[in-house]
Amino acid sequence: MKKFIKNSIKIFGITVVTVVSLVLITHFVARHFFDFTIDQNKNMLVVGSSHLEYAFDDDIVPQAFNVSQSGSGYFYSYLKVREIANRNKQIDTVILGYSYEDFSEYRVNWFSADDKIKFKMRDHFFLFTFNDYIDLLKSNPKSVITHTPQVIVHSLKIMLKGYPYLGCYIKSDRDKLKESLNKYDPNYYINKRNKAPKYQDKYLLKIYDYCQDNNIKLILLNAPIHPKMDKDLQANKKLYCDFASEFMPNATLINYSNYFDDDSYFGDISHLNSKGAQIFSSHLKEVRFLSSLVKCSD
Amino acid sequence: MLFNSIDFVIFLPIVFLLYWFVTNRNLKFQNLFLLIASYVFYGWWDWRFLTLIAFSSLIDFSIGNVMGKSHSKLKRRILLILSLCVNLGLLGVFKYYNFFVESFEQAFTFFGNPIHANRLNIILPVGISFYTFQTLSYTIDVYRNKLEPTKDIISFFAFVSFFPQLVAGPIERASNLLPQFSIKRVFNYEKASDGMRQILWGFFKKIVIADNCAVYVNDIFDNYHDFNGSTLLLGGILFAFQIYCDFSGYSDIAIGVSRLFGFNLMKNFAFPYFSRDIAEFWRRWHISLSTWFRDYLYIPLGGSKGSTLKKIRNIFIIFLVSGFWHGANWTFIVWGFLNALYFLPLMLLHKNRINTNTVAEGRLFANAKELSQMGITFFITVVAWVFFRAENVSAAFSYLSRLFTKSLFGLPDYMGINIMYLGFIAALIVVEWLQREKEHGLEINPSKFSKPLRWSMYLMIILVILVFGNSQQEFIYFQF
Repeated sequence: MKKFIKNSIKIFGITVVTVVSLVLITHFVARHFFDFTIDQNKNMLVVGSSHLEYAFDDDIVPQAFNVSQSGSGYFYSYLKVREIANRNKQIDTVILGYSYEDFSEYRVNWFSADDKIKFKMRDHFFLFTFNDYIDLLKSNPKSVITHTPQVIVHSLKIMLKGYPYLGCYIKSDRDKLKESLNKYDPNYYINKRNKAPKYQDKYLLKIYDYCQDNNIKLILLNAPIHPKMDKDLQANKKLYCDFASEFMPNATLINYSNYFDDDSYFGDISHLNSKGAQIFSSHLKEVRFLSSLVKCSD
Repeated sequence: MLFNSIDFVIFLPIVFLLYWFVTNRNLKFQNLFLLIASYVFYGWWDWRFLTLIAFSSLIDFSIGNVMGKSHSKLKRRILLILSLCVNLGLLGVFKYYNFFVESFEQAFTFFGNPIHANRLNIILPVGISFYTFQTLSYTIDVYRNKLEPTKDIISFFAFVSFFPQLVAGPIERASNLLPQFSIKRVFNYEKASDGMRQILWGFFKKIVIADNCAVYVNDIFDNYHDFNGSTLLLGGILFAFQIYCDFSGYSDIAIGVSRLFGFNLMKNFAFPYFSRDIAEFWRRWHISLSTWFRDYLYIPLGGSKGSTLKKIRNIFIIFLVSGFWHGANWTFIVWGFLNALYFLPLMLLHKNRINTNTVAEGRLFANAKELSQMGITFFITVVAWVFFRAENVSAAFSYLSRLFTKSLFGLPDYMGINIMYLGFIAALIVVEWLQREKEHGLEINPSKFSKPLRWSMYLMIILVILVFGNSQQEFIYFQF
């Protein structure tokens, strides 16, 4: 019996040491060999979730570099801003996705839910500091521990695949508007607690603070959504506006949520297709990110 | 509690240490501890359903005892019927009630008299089909005088709810498992080490193969109308590996965990995809269920004795019931029917017992004939699995009609698959082929391999599980 327990503990110990070592080694390797450099002419960093991933074509706005990605909460946007802006000093503007949907209560899951931890942590782990890891660990210890070994392969993978793996503009020919309208339930999106979702607020403010500390202009951009959804999500507008004015007074809020009223610009209820993205991006370029269609005072 | 969860990784060592170091002096106390641990294990999922297991156990314990004291054939028969009614009644209500209601509604609607009946808004208790059959085996064996009824209620309750095999088998016979609760268990290093190896192999199959196959299988089956024939064949093959690794992986873990506690469970899978005909496949797949049906249904019906018509009837009954056991859906019934069709010619031609040994016994490679036999058996099994996996029967037929087109001979048009996982499947096939005469894929003679080599191998498998495993997916057979 003693021999069995001794051997079991030994194997467990060896496994833990091996996994921790591999995680740390691959983190170090990926962090040092990932090519963070972006074109010197690009001074605008675009971060956010699928809204900007599908809406902001950085080929049309040449000074912008879009690393938005579906399902990215503000935690992951914060990591990208911090690490990319730190290494690319020409970045003087951050365009951050900031939508009514970001204030939906379910967005708390974008930090601590199992599936988000599983798919997001492994790809962004090389951007983590020890404190980032501890914060995530505290939110969902079981999931973080279970998924930590998987960062070993993904840290190496991202080093080879580069920026597109972290996020980019996606030209979408998706035609799922009808389907998404049928499935759509506004109650899922409407914030009834009148409070910004946990973690989202924390990392949103961290992005703001980072930009303030580094003299980077922060533009909060609300990309167009389908008129039906836009109408329903007016319920989140007050919270959305109040949060920006109260906690991020120096950020510029640009709201284009009701920019399109024609179905042909949408791939689904909350995302533009390539046709919509082209028109929207061209418009932003034309107005030089200076005007907002919807104002909080409206 | 899932085997593939952090909860279980914490639960198992605690139970193991308390079992061997705290409760080992008194057998009754040790059994009571196992019972509590088993109820915690099950209650972790939903404690309310513990009452169902306790009720089922109490009924069969009481019936067994009354039956044991009675010499009246009629009374014993009535008691047996009572046990069958209670156990199968619970199964019927929780598992099949809504299915029957829906089927009746559809039938009446078809004949122009639409009706509406109320459905039950209940969830299926995990593992109900498994522990119901386990406890039934006790009553039937006592009725047949093959087993003395036990007077030890703790042992009996622990036998019904023994946590390693409670929710997905192997379905143990009372005659094998129950007596093991009455004798003092002694820790055996070799047995426990081999149990650990079996657990490791089970985790590899479940977490690396089954859970990763599930991603592709779901994608292909959910969007089958978008893919060509060869992709649909690939989907069927991946599902064959998914279900095998999911279920046999669970059995490996269950058997391995039991060995840590000094128990021997029956073998549930014997490398079924190396079968040369469908009869051999059914001797190697879910052995505990197949033999249960053989002993408690097929043989009482007359088995392979009697007229040809009776033999055919028996075959169809056993396969249809087996299909229906898996779930309240016509897809499982058609799956059972199809297997009966596969089996029938072998039985009628008296060829159902020609492949009773292991394929290529004593040789490294199979010959061309054996390879083609295994290929054909695997292929027809895959076709049947399509029914097992499909949402409904019409979707299964639609899937197959798209599969059997010219595009079957083209290259798969599914781009999402990670080649590494195909490599893991290939590794599984190679390892299981080399080990096909053993109890499980990692059974080794420790004296033949040096310790560093063995430990390197264990560490490599653990790393593959941790790094490439998909996380905490439920076992498919939980739903049955």
